Amino acid sequence: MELYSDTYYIRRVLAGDTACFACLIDRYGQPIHALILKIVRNPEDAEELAQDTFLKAFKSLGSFKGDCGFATWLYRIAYNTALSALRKRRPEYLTIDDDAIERISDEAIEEQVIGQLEESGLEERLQELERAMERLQAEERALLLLYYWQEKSVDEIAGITGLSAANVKTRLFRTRKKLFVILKTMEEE
Amino acid sequence: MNMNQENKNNDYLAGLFSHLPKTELPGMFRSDLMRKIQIEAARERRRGERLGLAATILASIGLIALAIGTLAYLDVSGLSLPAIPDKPTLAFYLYIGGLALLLLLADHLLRKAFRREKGQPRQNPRQ
Repeated sequence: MELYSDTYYIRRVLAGDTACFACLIDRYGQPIHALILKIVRNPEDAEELAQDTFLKAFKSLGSFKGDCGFATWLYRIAYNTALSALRKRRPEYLTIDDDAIERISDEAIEEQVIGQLEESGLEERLQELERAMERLQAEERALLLLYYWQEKSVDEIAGITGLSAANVKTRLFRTRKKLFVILKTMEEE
Repeated sequence: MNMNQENKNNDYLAGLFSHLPKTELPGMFRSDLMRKIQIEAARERRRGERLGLAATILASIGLIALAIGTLAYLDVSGLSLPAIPDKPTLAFYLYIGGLALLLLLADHLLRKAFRREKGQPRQNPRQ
């Protein structure tokens, strides 16, 4: 049961009660760490980046105006921290030709892949999904994770990524299709 | 396919993602982070104190300058700016002033060492 709102804890922290920040860590630590771990795919980096996220949030808590939810603001910091760390550490290469994705019909690929996946057990399907996710670019992976895994709405994702809602929808649609193409390619390999 | 809530519920990927295992936070995550937060808070407090002190000193100097300027402008009778004393007297004044500052510094350092030895926190002047 959540006794107090984020705003209450933020006000307490800003008034000098630093210990209250622990309540915000308890509330958002796990989902933020999990998201970063799935984006960067390295436990040590994920822990460091999750801590960086909360430290940045603490330092700039005074500038949080409340024009979006605290969760959205925190996720935005996490998203930017994880992506800039990845950009610095290792360049990612596009593994799938975008034009090839365009040429494939949405329904056809979806039906084929779902049919193939349904033949295997849940554990195997999840492994396939994880492997396919690894072949996506970090931004694309983050979008899918926010939408499907963290169950954020398109508007919330727009707030987190700084994209427009229409742009988020387009990118989600394309990334979703790309994921199906990767899953199909993996089945054929 | 439209990316909206209704379609999300019927989406095959939504079902699959919902089965992805939730990861646990590393054991010392909370305590390590809170330690960093406390250090950052202390640093922020010290920065605030220093800024406050600098502002007070600047304001005091400004007020003194303003008072001297006002007195000089009004040309109040009976008040005159002190003349710079002769060289040996000035040297003596500087010697006494320096000695007082050195004693103040020694007092500050000794108090600091004493507090550290006793493990007492520094008293907040505002309390």
